[in-house]
Amino acid sequence: MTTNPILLDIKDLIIQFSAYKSVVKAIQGVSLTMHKGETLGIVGESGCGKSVTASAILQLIPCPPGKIVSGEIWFEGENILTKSETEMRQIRGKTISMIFQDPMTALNPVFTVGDQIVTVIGLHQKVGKKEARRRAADMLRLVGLSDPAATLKKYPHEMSGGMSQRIMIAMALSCRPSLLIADEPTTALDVTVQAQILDLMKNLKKEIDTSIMLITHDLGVIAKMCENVAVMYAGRIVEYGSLRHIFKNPGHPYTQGLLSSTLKLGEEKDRLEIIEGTVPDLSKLPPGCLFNPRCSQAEAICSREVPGTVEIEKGHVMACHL
Amino acid sequence: MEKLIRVANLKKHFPIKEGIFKRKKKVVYAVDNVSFDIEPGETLSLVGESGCGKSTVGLTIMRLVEPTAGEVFFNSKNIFQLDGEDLRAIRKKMAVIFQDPYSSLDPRMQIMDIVAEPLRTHTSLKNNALRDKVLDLLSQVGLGLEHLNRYPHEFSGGQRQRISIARALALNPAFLILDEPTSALDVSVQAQVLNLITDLQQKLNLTYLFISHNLAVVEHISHRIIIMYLGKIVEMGYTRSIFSNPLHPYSEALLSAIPNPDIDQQNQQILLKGDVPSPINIPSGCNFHTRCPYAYEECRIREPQLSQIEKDHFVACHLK
Repeated sequence: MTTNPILLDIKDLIIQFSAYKSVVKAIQGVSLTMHKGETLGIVGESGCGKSVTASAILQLIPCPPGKIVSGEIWFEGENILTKSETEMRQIRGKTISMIFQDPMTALNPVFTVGDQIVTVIGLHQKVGKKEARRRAADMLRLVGLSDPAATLKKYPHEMSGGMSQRIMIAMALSCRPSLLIADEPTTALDVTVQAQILDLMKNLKKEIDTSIMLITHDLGVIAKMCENVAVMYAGRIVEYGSLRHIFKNPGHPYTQGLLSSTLKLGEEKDRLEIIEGTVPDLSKLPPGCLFNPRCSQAEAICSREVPGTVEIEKGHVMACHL
Repeated sequence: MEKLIRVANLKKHFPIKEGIFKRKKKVVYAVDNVSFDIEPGETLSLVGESGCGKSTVGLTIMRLVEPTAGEVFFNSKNIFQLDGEDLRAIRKKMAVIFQDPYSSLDPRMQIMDIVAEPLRTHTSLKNNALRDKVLDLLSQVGLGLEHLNRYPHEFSGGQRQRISIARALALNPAFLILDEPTSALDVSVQAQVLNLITDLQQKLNLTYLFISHNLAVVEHISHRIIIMYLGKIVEMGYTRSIFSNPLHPYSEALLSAIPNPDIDQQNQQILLKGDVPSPINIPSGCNFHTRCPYAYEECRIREPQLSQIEKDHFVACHLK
């Protein structure tokens, strides 16, 4: 994969939200590289900053209270953080598009599905209304909806969660984006439907030749879909590597804890291994390594200094003193 | 052994009215002819996808929803025939923990009052004795004195679920219904809460009805499992036999659909066609035939009955 050109390069991104009497440090120096054609998984618990990172790529951070303090996001050779709102609109939905967790609320309830997809196609492709509708129907067929003409005329409330998510995917891919950001695309769905949607995303990725940034808290989904994985904790990437590196040879104590506290089928355990405590409050972060209050292997240095990144093996880096 | 809970032919149909004059009547078949029993000290899990009726079963056992037909016995007493003081007495023996710890605690009450509420209603404990009892309950779930006068918003999801558990344990119940207790929690916190639930069962000899859609959690926690689809039981048996030898095509697909976090064991998934049909228009015959990869003529016509295939392993399928 490394032979492919770089698609997305995030450098030292820092994002803060001002809250009542405090500043929430949502992202603290995230650097991340994605190559063309790659499926990158971002995994972490709630509040670790995975969705904020994704929103920042599309400049969807509400400002105020949010603020991108520093950092650069290079996408296809351009720093997109310097772009104006008008320029961003040309990027959103066309070269980078996003699907969200809850398909039922992501669609507009007062327009038909057809109107919504046609709007996206009309905005970014120079085609007439008829042609746009034809392309919309093609997209619906591509995502496995059997009767595209009828589906185009339906309103979102007439569809199940799985169908709505297929429509979201059709809409997101209608302009053949080079990057698809999927923010917990299957969390709201049942397992049998989740399996269908993941399968669909995998096949479409090949067909449309896009790259996927998959944000999830489900390690099972990551294992099925991704080539590389970034593990986030409290606004920092604590470990990055290939799927095999992260799952077979996790270096960071947090990654190890996350993997061992995940339940696997067919495993008999009387007690689950746990990570003590909870994720820290992002406005009152501990000094040094952010994981040190919960870490079972913490030493004196961990509460004093922020760990730098070390390379454990080729292409596998982590931020830990040990 | 004496059964603690016995559910017999339980049905719950919700009528819905449509049309301008609300004349057109439709029926949601939420629970349709469900029978099972739970032994003391056992964890029985109800598994299924959204809309399969698993939560309705739980609510009907608590009599928070009145059933359309059927009986539920608690210690051999039919709870649908009880009222007044008798019903209150039996409700003390059962408690329920809900999925969302953010909405199941009153945001305007302090933790002390939340946990003390059932005690104030059902017992004569007052002042210091009440406070001591609350502290004792909180310590059982890993919380303490410093949490007593705080409000729910000051706690994380995992801590809130601990508070819900403390409240449920207040009246020393024998039976707990846990309705998706960990679905709203992160994995590391989920593991903490599951450990707590298992520990409490051993310490207090509790019986659980565990409702969940997460099969990995269910496999870990339960002794026996019931798999439901569209209001009916499709398979019932001991955890080990269901997971090693799922007999119903739906159970098989459900088990294979779970994303496995072990990258060396990426199993071949059985992909089901389409979505779960609406419980208003339940398919004829076997209600799974519209999605079943093995369906044949008979499945469309005749409804399969739950029958015992192996010892204590029941399945409702024409193919077995």
